[in-house]
Amino acid sequence: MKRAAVPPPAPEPVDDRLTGLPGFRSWRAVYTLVVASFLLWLGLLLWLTRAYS
Amino acid sequence: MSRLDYVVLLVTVLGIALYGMWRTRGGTDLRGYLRGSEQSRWLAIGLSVMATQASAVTFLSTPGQGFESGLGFVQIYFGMPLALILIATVFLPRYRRLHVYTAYEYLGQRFDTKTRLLGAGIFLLQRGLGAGITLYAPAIVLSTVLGWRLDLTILCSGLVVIVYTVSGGSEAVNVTQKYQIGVIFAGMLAALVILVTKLPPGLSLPDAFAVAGNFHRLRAINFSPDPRERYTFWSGMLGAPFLMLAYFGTDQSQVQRYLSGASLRESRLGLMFNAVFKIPMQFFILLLGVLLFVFYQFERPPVYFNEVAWHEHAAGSEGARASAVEAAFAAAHQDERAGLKAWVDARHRGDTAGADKAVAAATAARARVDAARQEARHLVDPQGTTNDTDYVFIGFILNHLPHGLIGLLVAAFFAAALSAKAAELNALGSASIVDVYQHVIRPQASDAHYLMVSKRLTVLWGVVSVSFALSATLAENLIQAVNIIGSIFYPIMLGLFIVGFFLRWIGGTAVFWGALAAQALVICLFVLGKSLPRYEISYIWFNPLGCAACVVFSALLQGTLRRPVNAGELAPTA
Repeated sequence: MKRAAVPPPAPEPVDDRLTGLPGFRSWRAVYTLVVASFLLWLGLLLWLTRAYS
Repeated sequence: MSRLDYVVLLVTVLGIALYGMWRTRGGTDLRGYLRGSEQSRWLAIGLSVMATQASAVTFLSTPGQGFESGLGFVQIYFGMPLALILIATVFLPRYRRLHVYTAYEYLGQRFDTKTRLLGAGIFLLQRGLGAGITLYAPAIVLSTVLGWRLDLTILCSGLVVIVYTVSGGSEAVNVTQKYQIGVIFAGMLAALVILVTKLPPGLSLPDAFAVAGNFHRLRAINFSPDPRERYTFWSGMLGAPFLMLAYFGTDQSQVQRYLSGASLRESRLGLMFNAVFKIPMQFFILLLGVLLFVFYQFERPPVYFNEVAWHEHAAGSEGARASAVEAAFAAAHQDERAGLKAWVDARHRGDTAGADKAVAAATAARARVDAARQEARHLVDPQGTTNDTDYVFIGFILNHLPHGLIGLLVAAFFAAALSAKAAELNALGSASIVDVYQHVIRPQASDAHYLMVSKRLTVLWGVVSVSFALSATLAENLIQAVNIIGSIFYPIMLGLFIVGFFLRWIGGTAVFWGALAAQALVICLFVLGKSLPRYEISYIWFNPLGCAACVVFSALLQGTLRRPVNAGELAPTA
């Protein structure tokens, strides 16, 4: 069976390079926010574990 | 349930389904049926992805899990933010660039037909095996406590979901899921607020946390390196990302949801919405269970939460033994409550010695409570195949919430069941038509023909689901079996995509046989663990192991095979 060629990657449309979120213009900033919110929750859960065990 | 509750239930469940049908009336073409209007904004995508993952079992059983074991289950979601970032940056752009309808089309374009069919086959097998669970699991619990007929509950909910999914396709699923998740959030929030207001007077929230902490219900993080422990920090950070990558990145029921986005940006933001809010959502559902635990320290709970099953046994030949268990439970609970009240009072007075003495008494009484509950479980189910904690939350709702709100909560459970089932049916129908029928059975036909077959296949999967649900007998066993089956197959599916994305020198034949060898290895590990329990590991670890095995075997096989003649075509040329 023949493998179909994968089309060459097209650059992301300009619209998709912008996040559209106020204060978070780049995707890197959005991913940083996601990681920061995870770390915040991790900290809260660690505090709950330590404070109430 | 009162008449008001039934009105709220029927208006909510049927109203959303009818609205979904009305919004998608007038028919659509095949593309619209499989991918929706492709105009969805990020919030709608985010809620749809969330609603697809959270079935009724999530909202019925997770509070029970918090009640029984505390917050520890939240650790399984630790891998989700990282996994979703990877999907947003690697998987999603490729899917959108290739304009695929299903994730497995990518495998066909990257490798070959047999690898595409392997991916689609794994999805259909896995989802097909679990087809009835999303309907059966909530139906068994709700029909038991509400006294409804199980078969009618399954048939009615199955019929509703089949009708609106077939009528409006992917768009109907998107439209209804927005409102269904709204009902779920409203119901869960109302239950949480009322539960807090029902805690005993004088017991502040910090006191409630102290009570929960004393019985280890707030131990959210467990750093144990033991691979046999199911939910630990390490399994959440190292094993769960693979499970999440496989589920969100390669399971068509999820891929179809975010491919309906108006643009790459909207789909990405929808995924990031889940990356941010999934852990808080699961935390609050588990916290609800923890607060239920605290509530039932001061309010006497039933000795066995499936009260219908308990009363059946109490009225039978073992009635005397059941009465003895119940009496022991009542006495132990009374002692525990007295101990906890004394502890809280001593804490408020700042009497450390008195608090220590009281908490020791409460802890001793708690051991007696647990022993009585264990005996009650053994009495009802000597084989230990069922779990009464699934009935903790619904029991609280029926006994302690006002009428109207009871109807809303039951509607929320049905909404969760229907939203997950609709996405599942939609995905099963899509993979069947696109990857099997259109690709293998009848490649040259009109769009109208494929649309008609697609609808029939969706109905067929719906009928399979309902039939499976009607023939199921042991909910908990089945759910566990289906989860384990998922963990056995998911890692191989992920391995196929990881090779496809990152190891461009590996061809279709090597990855196909490498995946089958890895699948055999995971099945062997599973059988070994079941035969020799000391070698059993948590199912979460199957995910990295199976995925790594698929990658390594494929690479080794590719090394022994002739290098693909046309490998160069896979490299980017522009």
